[in-house]
Amino acid sequence: MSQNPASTRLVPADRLGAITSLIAEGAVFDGNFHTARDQGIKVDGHLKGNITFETGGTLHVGASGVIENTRIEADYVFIEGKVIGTVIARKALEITGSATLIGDASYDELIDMHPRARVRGKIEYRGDIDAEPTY
Amino acid sequence: MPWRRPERPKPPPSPHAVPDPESVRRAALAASWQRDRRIAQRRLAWRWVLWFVGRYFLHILGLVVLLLLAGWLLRSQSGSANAEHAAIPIAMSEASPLVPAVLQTLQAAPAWPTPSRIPEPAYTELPAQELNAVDLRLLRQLAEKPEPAPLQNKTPRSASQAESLIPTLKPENWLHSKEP
Repeated sequence: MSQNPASTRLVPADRLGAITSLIAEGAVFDGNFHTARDQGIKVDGHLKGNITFETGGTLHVGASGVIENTRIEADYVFIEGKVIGTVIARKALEITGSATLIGDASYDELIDMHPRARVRGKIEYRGDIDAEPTY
Repeated sequence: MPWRRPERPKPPPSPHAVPDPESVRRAALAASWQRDRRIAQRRLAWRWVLWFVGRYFLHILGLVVLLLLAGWLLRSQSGSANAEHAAIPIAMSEASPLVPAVLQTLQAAPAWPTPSRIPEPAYTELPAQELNAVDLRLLRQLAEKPEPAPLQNKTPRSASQAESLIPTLKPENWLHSKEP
């Protein structure tokens, strides 16, 4: 069995490994997910509602996961499935080649989008657009 | 008391009866990652294929049409090879500029001599005395010619027998001969 998370470019592997909640494939969750702690959630099933992490937070939408009518807010957002709604990534937003995003996405620091990703919406950088890069 | 039921014996606590939540979480995540990888790879490959076909559709279509056309031409050529071989001389006689020239050259060339045109061999008739002398000389040479080695089954012939077998031409025979 694979002990390594999906290959990511921006989202740290330990963040994906620290996910504590899982909506399994075939399950349907109707409602909002909210937490004030730095946790994580992985969606392999169907979720209708908002996901909000007040501080920290990692959201992993699996390849079979679908989230609709949503507003997602977390530090790290890793999308392999389908998301219909608004996405706010406070640190890093990663959209893979198998992902579909219908809606606006905004990020504060980093973004990575595969050339075969399907995005219909606006991508917005929320940081200071004229700030000098810090290495 | 009579209304109290006797307590059931409790099972002994086992540390492995309930799995560790952490191990369950890790196993569930690992299985989910594995499934994600498989589904994502398949979906991404399908997206690349769709993009490639959409982008190079005309190229692929043209290539397929060319291949089909080439195959059809090859098959038609190999199938009608005999018919084309038979039609080639007719087509050449009508189309090639060399054929009329060759035909004119052949017509201008002298024809083969017909038997009526063959000249008769020239000869001079010798007088009868000289002919008799030649015949006698030939007969003498034949008579003096040594006999070949005798065969075992045959009896050897004598010179006189050999001379008797050779026909002698007499002047009257010579006159009746059909030789020219």
